[in-house]
Amino acid sequence: MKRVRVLLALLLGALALAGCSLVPTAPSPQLIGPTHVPFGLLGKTIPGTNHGRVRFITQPVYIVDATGHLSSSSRIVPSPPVLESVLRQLIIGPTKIESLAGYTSALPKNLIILSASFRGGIGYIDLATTLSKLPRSQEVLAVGQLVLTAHVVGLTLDIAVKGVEITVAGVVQDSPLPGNHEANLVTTQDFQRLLNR
Amino acid sequence: MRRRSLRLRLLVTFGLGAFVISSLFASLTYIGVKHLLISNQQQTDLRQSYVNAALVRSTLYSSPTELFDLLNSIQKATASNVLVQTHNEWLARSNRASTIDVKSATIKIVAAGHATEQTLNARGRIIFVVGVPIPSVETQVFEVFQLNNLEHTLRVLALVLALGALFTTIVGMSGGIWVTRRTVRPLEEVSYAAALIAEGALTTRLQVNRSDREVQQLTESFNQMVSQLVLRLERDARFASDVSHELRSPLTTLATTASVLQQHRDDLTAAGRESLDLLVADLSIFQSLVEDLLEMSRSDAGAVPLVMETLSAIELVNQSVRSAARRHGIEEPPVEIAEGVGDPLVLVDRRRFERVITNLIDNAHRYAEGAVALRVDVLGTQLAVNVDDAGSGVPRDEHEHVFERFFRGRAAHDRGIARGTGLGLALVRDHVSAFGGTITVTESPDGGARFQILLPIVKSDPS
Amino acid sequence: MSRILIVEDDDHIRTALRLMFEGEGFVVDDAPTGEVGIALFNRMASDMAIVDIMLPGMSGFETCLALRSASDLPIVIVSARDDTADVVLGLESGADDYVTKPFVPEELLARVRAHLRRRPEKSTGAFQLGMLHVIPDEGVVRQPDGTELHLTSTEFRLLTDLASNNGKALSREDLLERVWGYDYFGDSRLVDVHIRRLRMKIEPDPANPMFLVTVRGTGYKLVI
Repeated sequence: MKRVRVLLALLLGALALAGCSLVPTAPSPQLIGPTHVPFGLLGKTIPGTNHGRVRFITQPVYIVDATGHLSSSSRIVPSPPVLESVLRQLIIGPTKIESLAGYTSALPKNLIILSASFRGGIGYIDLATTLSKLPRSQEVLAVGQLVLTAHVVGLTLDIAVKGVEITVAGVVQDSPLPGNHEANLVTTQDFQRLLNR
Repeated sequence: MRRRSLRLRLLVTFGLGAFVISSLFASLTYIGVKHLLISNQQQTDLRQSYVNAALVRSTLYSSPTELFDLLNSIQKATASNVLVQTHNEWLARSNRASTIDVKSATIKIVAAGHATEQTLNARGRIIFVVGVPIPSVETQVFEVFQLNNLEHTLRVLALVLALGALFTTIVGMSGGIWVTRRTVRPLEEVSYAAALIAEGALTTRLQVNRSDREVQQLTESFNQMVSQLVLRLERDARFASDVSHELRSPLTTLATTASVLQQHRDDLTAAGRESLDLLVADLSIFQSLVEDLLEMSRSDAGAVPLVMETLSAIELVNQSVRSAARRHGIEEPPVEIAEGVGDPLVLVDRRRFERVITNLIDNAHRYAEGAVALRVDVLGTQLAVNVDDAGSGVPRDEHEHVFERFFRGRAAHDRGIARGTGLGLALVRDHVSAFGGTITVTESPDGGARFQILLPIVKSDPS
Repeated sequence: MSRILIVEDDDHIRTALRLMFEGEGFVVDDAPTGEVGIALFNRMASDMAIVDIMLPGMSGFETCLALRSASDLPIVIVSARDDTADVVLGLESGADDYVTKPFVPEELLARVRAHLRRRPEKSTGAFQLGMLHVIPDEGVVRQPDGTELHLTSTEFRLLTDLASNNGKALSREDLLERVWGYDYFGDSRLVDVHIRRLRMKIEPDPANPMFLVTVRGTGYKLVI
């Protein structure tokens, strides 16, 4: 009788401990039945529109190739492209295919772009934090990415982009150029030699 | 069979019972609440995901430039991260979102057109990831919820419940202690008092005025029982002493007049002389019997308390042998002290010890031509006094019985004349036990019987 | 011819005793109560008395005390109880010996004879015992202020016997034989009680005796 009691206690103890595990995790995602998804999200059309669709275009952007040169790639973006959105998308990082091919991005993933826009042919990019903390070579490449991408976005928008001015929280930065130069206004010319031909 | 402690069993039962019940309650509560909390959280999160997905859809359609701002404002408002994919590439995400959180398995399924949900462990934290495909805008929306709060809540809940269970167990055990005190302690008191009484402390009583009725009843009945027994014992003791007095006077007359008759022996006829002889012989037996009986009943009733003294064993034995021999007019058996015995001390009543030696020597005289020797030795912490004779010994099957009252062994039947009272050895055993010793009969090295008395040796104090 | 006084309230025992002692050649005066016994003693001047403890009216102890105060005669008390307390009380009252009922009549006879037999003492010279001056030939113990210390004949004999042994110890049995005169029937308690009474009389501190010393394992000795 005593033994039974001990076993019972142990069993209960085990149960208690099992219950004690906090939030249980699942090894794989669980499907949600389509009937549970509201707002007609799974529907083929956007509610309230008559076959309304979003137009996507392929927008060229610049990333860094395996040799450390700036190289052209593309992103699918909603039309018309907005500099701010494209740059933010660029910051997300290389796509799977790009990664497999050895492409990287010099832009740090936690870089926050406060605003980016074209005014009078100049791209004004306002960052939340400075790029000068990066190693010089990476900083150069990052600036190169920004300027070149802004250029091609301008092209898509039929804007002749003369150059890009980078500010940090409104403060104009001395952006590094390839070779030990710096400038406030950077142009694509400056980064020609870093281009991947 | 090993008896278990009732006290322990009660305590264990209470403690264990409290533990089991409280653990069960705590576990069940925990499991229930956890389940509830988690499913509630999931429901809420899911609903939020759907709403956000709808927002993403409308933003993409109407003002795609504001997508990033939307995601960031969602993150600011709800602390969850939203990521949007299109055409297998990341389109947008809130600033703090990390694409690693959305596993490829999820992406694959959502891209195939199914909404998914998953709770997983990412970099040490538990997250809830919801994936919703929005085919109408060719995108997939993923929302990553932090479950920190939930985890924290559950942790607190678990702690509280565990403490509750612990507290309940402690209370249960205390309850057990209280119960045992009320029930087992009186039992222990009763057994302790009973032991004291059995040892002779006849004034022992249990304390009355208990708060529990049953215990009060027990103590009252017990005390009453003891008082009754004591009265009986006292009555018996008084009986013994009353009888003693009553018998002594007539016996004295009988003995004295028999002596007078002996003086006038020559005036009797032969028949008269023969009768007188028989009368005198049986009178002496009668006298011994009465004395033995009285001594026995007195020691039974505890009427004559022992006068215990610490004495030198050797001096005591020597003296007792001398007295015994002189009293019975028989030859004094030699006392042999074994080598290395020293001068041990024993705690005895001197007169009773003399009685013991006298009876044993008398016994040897009656049944075995007298004692050959008294041999004194030390066995461990005990003193051994051996009365050895060279008679026919005591048969093995009678070894236990010789000390019984009125036991007549084969030897007595063989002898016919010179019968003892049948109480001599019984008295010896009673007295020896009263000293805390033992007596046994074995074979003596001289071929007859050996009566061995074992007495505990008292340590003499250095002063 | 020795005269014995028997004080015993039980008629049968008294009669039987009288017959027995008369049969042995003694002259017997018997009394059923203590008062009568004392009156008889005063008239007859008995040589020896046998007194029962249990008496109606004046108790055996009181009778003993009364007799002792009047004379040095040997007194044997008879008791139905073997209680040490009784024995001690009896001896303290002045008795020289005690016997318990039922006794073996021959034993009583032997004891009586022993007490009556005045054995010639070894002549011991007078000696000093602390502040006391003991003169055995006169049977006297003189105190420093000149008065005499009263000892019973038994006590005196005990003292002088030990003194004559030149500081050597004597066992209880030896003392019983030498002082009381018999070795068969004696009880060593007699010796112990008498020693204690002697100590009360002659020792400056009876609890820590310096003259009458107990020798453990043997008996007693007198240190002069």
